[in-house]
Amino acid sequence: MPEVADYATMTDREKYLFDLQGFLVVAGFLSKEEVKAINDALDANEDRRGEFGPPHQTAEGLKGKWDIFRLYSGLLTWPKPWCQPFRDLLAHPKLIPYCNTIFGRGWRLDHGVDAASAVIGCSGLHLHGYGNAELDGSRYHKYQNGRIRCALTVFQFQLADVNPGDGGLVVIPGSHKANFPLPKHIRYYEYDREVVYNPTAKAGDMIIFNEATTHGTIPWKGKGERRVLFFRYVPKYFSWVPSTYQTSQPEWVSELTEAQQAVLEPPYVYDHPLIEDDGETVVRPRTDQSI
Amino acid sequence: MNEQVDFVTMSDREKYLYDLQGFLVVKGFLTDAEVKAANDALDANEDKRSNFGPPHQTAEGLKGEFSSRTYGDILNWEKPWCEPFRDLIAHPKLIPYCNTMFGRGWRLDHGVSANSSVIGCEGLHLHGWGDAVLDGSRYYKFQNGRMRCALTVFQFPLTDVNPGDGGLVVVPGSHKANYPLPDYVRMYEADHEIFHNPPVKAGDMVIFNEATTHGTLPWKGKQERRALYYRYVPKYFNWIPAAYETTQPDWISELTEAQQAVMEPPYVYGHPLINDDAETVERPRLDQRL
Repeated sequence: MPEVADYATMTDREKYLFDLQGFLVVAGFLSKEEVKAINDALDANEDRRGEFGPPHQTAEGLKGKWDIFRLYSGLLTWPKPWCQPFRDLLAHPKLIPYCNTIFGRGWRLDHGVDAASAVIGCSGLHLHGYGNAELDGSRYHKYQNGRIRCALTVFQFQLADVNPGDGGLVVIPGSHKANFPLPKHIRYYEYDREVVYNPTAKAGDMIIFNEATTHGTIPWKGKGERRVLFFRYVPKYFSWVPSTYQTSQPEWVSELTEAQQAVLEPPYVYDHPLIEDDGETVVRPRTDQSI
Repeated sequence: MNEQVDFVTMSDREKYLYDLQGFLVVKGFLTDAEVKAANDALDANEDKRSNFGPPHQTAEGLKGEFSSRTYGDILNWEKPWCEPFRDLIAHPKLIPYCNTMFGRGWRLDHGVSANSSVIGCEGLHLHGWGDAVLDGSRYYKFQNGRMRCALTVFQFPLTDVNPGDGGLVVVPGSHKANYPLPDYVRMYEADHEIFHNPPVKAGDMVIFNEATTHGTLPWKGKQERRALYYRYVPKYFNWIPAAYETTQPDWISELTEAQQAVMEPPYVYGHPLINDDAETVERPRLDQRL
């Protein structure tokens, strides 16, 4: 029974598919002009693109000559006119029903905006996203009384076609609701590969996937370049990685103990200080898997 | 089945009671000396306390002559008066409770305040919607031996609350309610037997989830009611910034209003909401449809 809301939401078909699978392909989200504008901006700024790094994956099905992709970063701050196509996506009119449905009204951009480029030889990325196996307030898909609510969710815009067998994004349909831990052999794409789905897409399609949905990347094998844009959205009260704002604290915070200062930190995930059981020592793991 | 973790958590008894009821009374959390220090600090700073305000409640069971008064910004008082409150921020005895409810990594939200009530102070209508409305900012969840909560209040009574005195009232089990909160419960009008007004001693700690239906009954105790409020959240969460400010880079001002809305830092009250036209933005204080 879908929630009755007085604001724009996804269609019933889209709600059904996203709730069922943990991801959604929205065909033809961007117009041809929008895709061209974005690709032109990337082409004009190849000097801002990172290089292919060394490979990190050791699993047979994920190995490659180089890292997963090379990145264009800081797109929102590029000089005009090149930043404009990316800024135009921030609150794109067609995006609103999806974010409203997934987060409720009031949502924000997290992380920052990147574009990724891959060619034949790029490796994959091991699968991650743990469904319901571990109750995690920062990555989840919840449904109740007609309402969906999610935490960190990726909105990936395809800027080039992904044909059958090309590789790239993989997802495990339904895994956002998995109750058992992700097995290692699936994480490393070793066998039971039939549960892993590599969606095909056309340039201009948008693929939404929940961070709780098990997902990863398989090595790129397409003849053309793989190009995708990543926008990550969260509810308005949430922050994984502050994307643009800077924070400052009043001077009196420096008078506190390290543990007390840890508790007054702004919200974020990576390297957030954790107080040890002695109540004094503070550690800063990059990400604490016991979220 | 309890989650097996390598960090300190609440006792099994406490987990059971909190999961069952949506609130927990921890007796004797503060020592007599800690209670005295907190009270002495408040006594010494009565000039910083607000006055009793006009009443707002109209429901018969919640009415009073005035609203309670507040001590605000107490973490920032000059020394030594701020110290008793700063000492509570990461109190060693607090760690198991926050670890259990939020996982490792949690932060103070809102700021810290103290409330003061006397006979004549009104109550506050009940709020907290349990599971009736799926709300990512206020919830209690349990799965595979693990509980996780969003905004949660840690209240430290600094004076005794005797049976019949009033003050904090909760509806046990309501953090898991699936049906909407009826108006007559919200306004304390009927079915009074479901409400619980916990008696406590100065130095106890009362934890209640914001999803647990709770409110305040008019104060009827002969003694002043005094309580400290600390609100904690998981590390990736923010309702109201407690001790930081944010600034945006200049280029943000080049964006449309709707785009700027999406770039705002995390917070709840007054957060801009983009209307369906994708251009206009509204800023309700709190969108009840969270």
